[in-house]
Amino acid sequence: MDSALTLLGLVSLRPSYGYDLKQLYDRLFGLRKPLAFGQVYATIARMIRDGLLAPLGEEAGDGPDRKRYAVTPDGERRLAEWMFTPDVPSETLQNNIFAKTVVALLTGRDAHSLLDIQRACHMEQMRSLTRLKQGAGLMHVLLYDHALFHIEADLRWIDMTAARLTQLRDEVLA
Amino acid sequence: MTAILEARGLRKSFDRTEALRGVDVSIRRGEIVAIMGPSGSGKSTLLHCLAGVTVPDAGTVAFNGTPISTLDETARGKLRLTDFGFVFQFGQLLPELTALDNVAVPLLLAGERRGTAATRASEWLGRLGLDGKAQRRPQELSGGEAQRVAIARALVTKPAVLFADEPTGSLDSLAAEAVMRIMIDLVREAGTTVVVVTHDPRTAAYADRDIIVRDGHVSVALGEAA
Amino acid sequence: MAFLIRLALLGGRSSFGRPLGIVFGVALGMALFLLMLGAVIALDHRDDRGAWTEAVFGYTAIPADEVAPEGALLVHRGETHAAGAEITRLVVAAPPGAMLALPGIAGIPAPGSYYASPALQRLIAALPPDEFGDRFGTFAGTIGNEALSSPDALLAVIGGSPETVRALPRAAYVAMVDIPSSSAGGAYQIVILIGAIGLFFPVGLLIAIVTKLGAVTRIERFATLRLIGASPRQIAFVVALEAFLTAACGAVLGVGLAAIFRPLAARIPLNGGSFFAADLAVGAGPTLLAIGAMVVAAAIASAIGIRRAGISPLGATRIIRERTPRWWRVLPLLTGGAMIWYGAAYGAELDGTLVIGFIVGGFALTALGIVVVGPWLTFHLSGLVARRAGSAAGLIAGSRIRATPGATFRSVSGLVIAVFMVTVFSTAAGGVIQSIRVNAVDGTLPLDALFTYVPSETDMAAVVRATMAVPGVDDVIVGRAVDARASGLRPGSVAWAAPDFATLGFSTAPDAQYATFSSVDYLTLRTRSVETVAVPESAVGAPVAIVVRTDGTASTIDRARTVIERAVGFAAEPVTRVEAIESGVRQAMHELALVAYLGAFVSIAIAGCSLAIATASAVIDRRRVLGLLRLMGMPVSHLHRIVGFEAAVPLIGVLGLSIAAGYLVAEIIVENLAPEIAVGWPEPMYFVALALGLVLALVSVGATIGTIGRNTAVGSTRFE
Ligand SMILES: Nc1ncnc2c1ncn2[C@@H]1O[C@H](COP(=O)(O)OP(=O)(O)OP(=O)(O)O)[C@@H](O)[C@H]1O
Ligand SMILES: [Mg+2]
Repeated sequence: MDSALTLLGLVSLRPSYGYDLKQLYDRLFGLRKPLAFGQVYATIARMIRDGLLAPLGEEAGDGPDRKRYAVTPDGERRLAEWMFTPDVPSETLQNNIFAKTVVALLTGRDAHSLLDIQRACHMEQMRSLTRLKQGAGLMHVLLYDHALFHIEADLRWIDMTAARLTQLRDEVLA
Repeated sequence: MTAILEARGLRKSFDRTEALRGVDVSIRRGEIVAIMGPSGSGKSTLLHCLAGVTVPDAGTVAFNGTPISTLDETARGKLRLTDFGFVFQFGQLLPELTALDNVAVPLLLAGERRGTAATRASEWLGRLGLDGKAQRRPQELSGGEAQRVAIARALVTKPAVLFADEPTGSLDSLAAEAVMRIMIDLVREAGTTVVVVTHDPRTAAYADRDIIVRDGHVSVALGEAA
Repeated sequence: MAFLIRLALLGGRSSFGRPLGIVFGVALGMALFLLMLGAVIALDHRDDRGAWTEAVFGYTAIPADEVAPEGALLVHRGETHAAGAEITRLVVAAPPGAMLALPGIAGIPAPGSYYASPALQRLIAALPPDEFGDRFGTFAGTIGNEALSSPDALLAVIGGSPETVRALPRAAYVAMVDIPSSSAGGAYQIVILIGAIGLFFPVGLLIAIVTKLGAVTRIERFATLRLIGASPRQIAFVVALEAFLTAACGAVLGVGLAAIFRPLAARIPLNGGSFFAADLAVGAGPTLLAIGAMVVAAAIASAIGIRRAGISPLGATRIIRERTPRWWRVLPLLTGGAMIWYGAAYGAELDGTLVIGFIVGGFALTALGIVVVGPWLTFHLSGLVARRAGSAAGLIAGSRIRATPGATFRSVSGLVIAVFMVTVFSTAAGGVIQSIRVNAVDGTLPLDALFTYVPSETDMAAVVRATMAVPGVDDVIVGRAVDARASGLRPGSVAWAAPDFATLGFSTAPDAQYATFSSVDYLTLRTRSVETVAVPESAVGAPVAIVVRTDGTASTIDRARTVIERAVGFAAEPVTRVEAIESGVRQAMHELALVAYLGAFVSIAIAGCSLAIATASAVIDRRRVLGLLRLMGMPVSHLHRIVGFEAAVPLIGVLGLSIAAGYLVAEIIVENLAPEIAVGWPEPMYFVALALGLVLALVSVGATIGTIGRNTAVGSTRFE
């Protein structure tokens, strides 16, 4: 998730103070990791430098805290580009678990228990996410679901691999 | 000590297929346990053995410390009626009966009067969010609604253990989630023990822990450490 | 297509039982149908064969006091009785030049000798000669079967001299044996034909139900076929073909069964006698026609059955709800009842055929009405059961019936109709039989007495003496000729002396010295006395009739009869009042009732099969659901109760209706058409038939219930 562009999007809602931006960001996306003030201002400064944001007027004039920022036309363009460019599905072809499994098979270690350990860990993660989900608002539920579906995908892969370990070993050792 | 269901050395074969080859399972009171594993690994067979539906070829199952595999069919039927509830994937409701009557059946079987049974059944339908659907027949319900009626029927007798075999197997993610959430809320509230067989990790994630069955064995459940 | 057929028909555990059911049902139906058809044909045929004994009343008979035609025989046809049976007695004499031969006998018997039918020979052997055998003379030979209508025919051909025969009343010259066209069996034929055609109903029902069962057990297979593109029509075709083949087997088997059971069936008496087994044989043409009809009916019934099962590509996961039966279903029943009542009550003012139309039509409509109203009644009754039931079994059964009242009722409809029919028959028959019981009535021939005319030239004193000598004979009274011209009374009147009236069975004697009354009324009135008319003494002549009072035992009566017949000759035909009245009426009613019971028994048997199969199919249909209930902890006994309820509710609900309707229909018909007959309790046989039906229903449901445990055993269905 690109936090700079996300902030830019929030500004495009209406010209805002840095403090308000942080608050809004944290409410929507900061579930796990709230933004630090410093990070907000550093990002704003970078975007002003790139011409995507501009301070609005010269109100009161003291410090970054007292300034409101607005999106420039360049910024709008950048925002639209970000929003409507699809994200490439992450290509973790050289996945770590895959690598561990192959090495375990090559070296005659217990690939099965490797996968079982991984599976248990994934399941534990899913359980805690599911617990968190209970009683959460829809926004967070969707966020947790996103994570759950990803873990589930890994789990499915683990199950498939576990079921075909013998075949995989033959191929690896060939 | 607090194990409500305790299985030791379960073995079960069908003709030449060995469905279970020595399974030990211990389930604590109030626990929600998911049974997972590849297709054909013996999950349903294990569930049936635990619930006294199938008699294992060898091994014992104890419910609250009393062995149930030695009981005769009549006694096991009585046990299932009073202490166990069942939910399956689909097609478990009586098609000619309304949702309300479907839920009332176990109460009537338990000797409840018709009026009381109807009142309690409609209470449970309400709890499962089916208030307006009491007079519908199963064909007039969506899959998710039908599953919720089935859950109401399984829970209406306040069983000690709820056995569910793929309860969300024919539902989409959203409906599955609705069904699971409502079920989990209700069983947590009542302290019911749940054994749920599922392929779906998201359904299994509602459980406190999972038991993996592979080729008729329970694989060393590392999750149990957690 | 061949592939489709193989897929649809082969495999499956119940593949054998199901066609067997059809084969059995069709075979039974076919055998009965053929036997009944045989009876219909035989009734005509054998009447023609036996008709020659009526020849004395035919066109070619010439009164004996006229000039004898060339080559004619002199024949007198009379009747005698023994042990409650009526014997036809032909007295024949061959005047010089007689050329006519009689059928079944080698020649004309010499005076004093006789030919007898086999049944008559048996009767003669069974009774002491002085009671019966002595009436005939010496045995000359057996009358061949080709001249008898029935193996039971009691016929004697007795030789006499031309003079004595000519002197007998009603004697005639017969120059050729003509065959009067007989329609005596007409009513029987209609009844049996209706019965035979009616047999197609339960058989068709059976086939439809068996097919439905087959469809249910193979529903997944058919659903898969539909899914891969077979049309409903193709499926129906495959199933119809199956039914066609099995029904053909059944029909052929039925022909064999009919042949095997023909001798047994021939022994059932109809219209006055049993049959020669060969009479019941049906020719090749009608047999083939019947097979064709049966097989086509089977194919159609099964095609309808499979359509009803409603197999979609998705299988039968969604049950097809029947349309709720509406109130209009009572209309046919009410209309039928009204028609019968109208036809019976206003019959006197209507044209005869119209009355029959009303009554027969109303009867058919009532029967149909019961079938039509059945689902409606079942529906409401089940609603009551479902609402009120305090048990799970009641709730489940009630709801199930409420969802499928038509199908549920269909499984018992055969029984219900059979019960209706048999109720009507036996109530009416019971009334008639009771009503013709002959009671002693003041002013009619006493029950222990014999009456006969005697020729006026008889030596009356000798006859009286001989008769009085018979042990057990109490009194012999002589009636005298009345001069019709002198008295102004009807010719043929008989005058009786006033002091004799007490012995004649009158409580009051007439005022005059002699009085007369109608002899026919004296013999046949059942409820009131004959009217007596005074006869002037001057008009009284020679003795022409006698009344013999006996101790009332059959042997005394028969012995007295033998003595009178021997003393007077064949002009005497002594009868009791019972014999005069009955003349076959009671016999006929018994026979008709027997046929009705027979038909009812077969319908009940087939209906019982249908019920068993329908119940089985209801169980198999819901194997999963019932198994689930068992898994939930429902005891098997509760499952039994569910299935029991499902048969009992429609049966009890509509059986009551059909019994009531049957009784009412019989009551309306009898009350209005024959007011003197009181409808009473039906015959005992009725209760036997009813009990049989119930037992069969119980057995068939019970037998199926036995399979529930197996079908719903927790292992038999997989729950996931
Ligand atoms: N009634 C039966 N008759 C014969 N074999 C059976 C029967 N029940 C189960 N089996 C066999 O036992 C094995 C385990 O079956 P089981 O139904 O327990 O598997 P499962 O884990 O529930 O599979 P799934 O996830 O597909 O439902 C399978 O190989 C199956 O073929
Ligand atoms: Mg399973």
